Amino acid sequence: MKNLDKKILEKIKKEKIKPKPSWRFVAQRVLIYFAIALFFGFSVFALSALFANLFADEVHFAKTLAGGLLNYFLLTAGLVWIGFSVFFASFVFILYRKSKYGYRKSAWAVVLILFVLQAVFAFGIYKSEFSKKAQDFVKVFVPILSSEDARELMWHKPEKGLFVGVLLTEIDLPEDFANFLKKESGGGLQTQIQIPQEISFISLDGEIVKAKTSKLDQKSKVILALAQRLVFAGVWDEQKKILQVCALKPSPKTPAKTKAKIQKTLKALGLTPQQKNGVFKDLLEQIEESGKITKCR
Amino acid sequence: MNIKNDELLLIKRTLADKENFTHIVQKYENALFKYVKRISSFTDEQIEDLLQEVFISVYVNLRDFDEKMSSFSAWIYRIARNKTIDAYRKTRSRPHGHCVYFDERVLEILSSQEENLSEKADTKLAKEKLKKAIEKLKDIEKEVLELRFYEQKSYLEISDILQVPVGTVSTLIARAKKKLQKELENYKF
Repeated sequence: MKNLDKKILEKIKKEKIKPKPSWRFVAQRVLIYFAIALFFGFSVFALSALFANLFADEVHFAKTLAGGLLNYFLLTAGLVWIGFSVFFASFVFILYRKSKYGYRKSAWAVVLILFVLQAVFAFGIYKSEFSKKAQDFVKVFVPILSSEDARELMWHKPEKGLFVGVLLTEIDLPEDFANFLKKESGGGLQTQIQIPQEISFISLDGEIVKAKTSKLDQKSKVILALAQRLVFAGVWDEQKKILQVCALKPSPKTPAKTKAKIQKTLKALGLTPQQKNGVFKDLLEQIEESGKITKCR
Repeated sequence: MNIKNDELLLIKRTLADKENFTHIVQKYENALFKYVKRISSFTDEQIEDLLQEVFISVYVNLRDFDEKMSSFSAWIYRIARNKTIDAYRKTRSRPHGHCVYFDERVLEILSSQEENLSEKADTKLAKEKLKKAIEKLKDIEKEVLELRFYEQKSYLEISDILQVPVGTVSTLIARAKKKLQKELENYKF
């Protein structure tokens, strides 16, 4: 190497090379940390949505179906949210490692800290019910996420005595029904409703099913409201065509899609559904009066 | 005034007057030449061209160096290493990463610094065995040994050069030493 220093200096002068200004390095770092914060936010939201799915009221039925812890987790967690959470968390990890001194921390320590922070923030967001609101908002734009029907249909296993359906039998409702539902869905209301011994419901695949509730714990806190979507679990008697219900659980809500499905079923039966307080009124009565129960199990 | 302050002063002077950059080049050119030669299979001319790129990059990014770095030298070594790897990728002269060559001098140092190894590697025949044992190491293990025992870098400096955690550096060194000792124990003196 001869005169390398002079060659380099000559090149610097000839090509008018200058050191980059400090602000460019600062801006670069700010950009990286901003991206880290952004992706961390996304990953936290996805995890909070995952919590919302995991701790949803109706998921305990999945235990019966799943048969194993992993299956139960996969059935209830919502794989889309797991995917989003891992995807965005991976970005956070990679960007942090690319940050100026990110390499000095052990990769495992970074992953562990990231996971703990993610879990803490996500649980906070889940508790504040923000995740549920945001999830509903996101569902408008991402159709794959509004797959409540698809998920509940997975639970719809008549051969195992598990049905998802909409209650047809009229029961005595509290006067302030709208508030009752609102409070009950929050889990704070102790009010119990007398459950009739025989009930009927339209299952998600459009069939009308009769069920006996004699084995049902009458003291259990369930919302049993006309035209509300419910999960029915019990023993299906193929010969008598009766479901011996041993558990009932309301779905989070009756979405517009389900109501449309009921209306479609009724329309097919030549009936005009009447609604009161947002629920169908005297539905079974109307069906029975019409004498058009053609698909009863 | 410690070495770090000297380095910072030299950077400040270079930023004020580009002529001072020659001091930085003069201070590191020989060390970097040997380092690049050891971690690559490039010819002297190729290394010289590469070093030009390295020093230009050092000059352009001079304001990116800060006091949190273990040393200015580690920062320059890192740039040299990254440029060498980039050059390999461009030329595709090797299918994976880069390579580390250990010459006789490195073997001398390695065996003299490590008591356990020097006992075993006392004879010329044993050094041959040591050389063969080193060849069996992974490139990254060879590189940490090279930086630690030949370049005399601290663990933190090696961490900054290779951009891995300090814990990983110590693990790699310990693992490399263990492998060498095992290889030498298998050897019948």
